Formats: sequence, structure tokens, C-alpha cells
Amino acid sequence: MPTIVFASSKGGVGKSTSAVLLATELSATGKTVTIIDADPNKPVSDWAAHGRVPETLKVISNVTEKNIIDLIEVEERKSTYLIIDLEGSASMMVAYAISRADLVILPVQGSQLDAKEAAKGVALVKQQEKAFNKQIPFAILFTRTNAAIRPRTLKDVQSQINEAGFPVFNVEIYERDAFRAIFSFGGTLYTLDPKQVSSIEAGIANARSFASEALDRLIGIYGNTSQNETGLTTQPAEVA
Amino acid sequence: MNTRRSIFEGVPDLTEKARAFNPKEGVAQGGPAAEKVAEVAEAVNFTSREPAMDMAGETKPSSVRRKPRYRKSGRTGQFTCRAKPEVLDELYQFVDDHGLMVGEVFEMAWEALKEKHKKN
Repeated sequence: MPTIVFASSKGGVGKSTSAVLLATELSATGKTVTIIDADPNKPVSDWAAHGRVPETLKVISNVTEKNIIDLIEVEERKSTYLIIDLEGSASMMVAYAISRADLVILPVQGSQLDAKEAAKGVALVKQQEKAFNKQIPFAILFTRTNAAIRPRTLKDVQSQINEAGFPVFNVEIYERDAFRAIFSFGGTLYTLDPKQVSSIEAGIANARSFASEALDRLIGIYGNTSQNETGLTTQPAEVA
Repeated sequence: MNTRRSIFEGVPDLTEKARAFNPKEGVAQGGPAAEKVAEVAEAVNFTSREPAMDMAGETKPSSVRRKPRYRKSGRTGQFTCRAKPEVLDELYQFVDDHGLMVGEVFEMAWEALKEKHKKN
């Protein structure tokens, strides 16, 4: 039942791509995963409509500010992992989703504008932590970066985020044709046709490393709950 | 002979890791009430992007049917935005009461806003 929220008040930063990559990687391990597509543009629902969605993965759409909290609570009971993809806006929907999150992932591209918007997301997380006296683990995820080239603007944004002390994923989601292709052809990285799409294996390695770090973060927060009868209902430990 | 490094070298075994992590299933953790969350969100400028709802969950349309306003004024630029119906009702009431055009009121409001920011 861990709930992982992808949030950013800016569109086009790779929230839906990262959410689908994480969901498909987790479902490939045999665990059940639900994605709540809370973006009115319904990118994840459009992806699912292509078909070839893994059997252990379910996508829920038609989400409103009025029903999102109820949906989260229902789906948390049904699936091992709940992933929420949000619209790129500073909306109330973002706040409701974060209020139920076990981990908030804030995707950021290497631009000043993105970093500024990510800071807004962090401000909301911090505000909720203070108001509700609970820790909401979050981490910045650099997305759409180039595996080979490190532009100066990206380095600058990274150093600003490090200076602010925000936790950052070690793994970045690279700009890859394979990631775009799953939204064009549907299915997962594993069902793409190598004749149509290049570097699928590199995409899989990238997605798997990201999912692995996300799991590490959940394990770091809660420990291995198979040895902890109280499970995730315990107060999360302090995270760096 | 040189061998090419595998692309999966150093990539963790996700299935093994997922098997080791067994979060408790079938439970919802709950959280603060929606009203409280909304209050906190508004403090950091996260606002509702959906139409206002009444208690029955119905969209509340403006109760006023507006008459067409048209006269030549040289204002040719177009500006469109969405606002709360009750704010628009007030705005059009002001326009009618003062015999102005919506564009004129927008320009006046803009000037006033600039003036206010100059003072601050």
C-alpha cells in the first residue's frame, strides 16, 4: 500500500513518463500496482488505452478534487503499490494527493524554471509536514537529461538544489526514444519492438535503476516491513 | 579480446528487492481531513482548479444572464481568462453601473495594480 505521488506545478517535466516507468517496473516484479491518473489530460489513461498493460497493473481515471482522497483510500487497500500522476499545476488535487503520500517524487528538468516550480512543491510538502505534524518523505528526480552531456544550466540547477538541502535521486531519467515510444505504441519497455525503437535495453536499465532507488527510499523510510508487524501504519523514520 | 560491458552491469535485481520489501497490504493509512489540507495548501498558493460546486456537487453557474456589450472603442486585443462566477457577476455589475466597457475596467484595474505595486 505505499502511495507514491509524482508532483510538479509545471507540465512537461516527465511526471507521467516516470510514473509509468516506475509502475511497469514494479508490476514486472509480480506485485500489484494501481496508477491513479489525476491529470485532466489523462496521459496515463491514454497510454493504457493502447492495451498491453501488464495484468498486475491497473489505471484509474475520472479523478476529481472531490473524489481523489476516497479513491486513494480504496486503492491503497487493493494494491501493493499506489502511484499517483498529477497535473502540472499548483492545484488542490496536488495537495490532497500529497496528504496521503508515503513518498513524493518531484521531477525536475535541468532548467531554472523547473527548479523554481519544484521548490513550490517542496514548500507544499513542508507546509503539510508542519501543519499535520508528520514527515512526508520527498525527493527531486532529474528527468529528460542527456546520458552523455551535462549542460552548465543542469549543473547549476543541481548545485542550487543541493545547497537547498533537498533530497535528490541518484538516478536520473534520461531523454530516451524508448520512453516516448511506450506512449506511442502502448505496453511496456519489454513489449516494444527493437525494429521500431532503438536502445530499449538501455531504457530498461535506466527504468529499473530508478525503480530500485525508489524501493530503496521506501525501505529506508519504513524498513523491511515483512519483519515489522505494524507495517506502514508506523510513523515514518527521519529521512535525509 | 575486448568484451563489451553489459548495459545491465550494476543494475540491481528489482524482483529480489521487491520480494524483500513487504509492505502491509489491505490497509489505507488515512490522513488529515480534506478541509484542513485545502486550508494549508491555500497558504502556499495551491488552489482549486475545478468549477465551484454546491453542496449537492453540482456546478454553480452564474445566476445572471448578461446582455451583449458592444461599441467601437479602438480596443482590438483580445484577452480571455476564467474566473469565479461570483467575481464575474460583480465585475459586470460594476461595468453596467458605471456605463463602462469590460476592457476599460480591465485597464483601470491594471493601472491600479501597477500603482499599488509601485507604492510597495
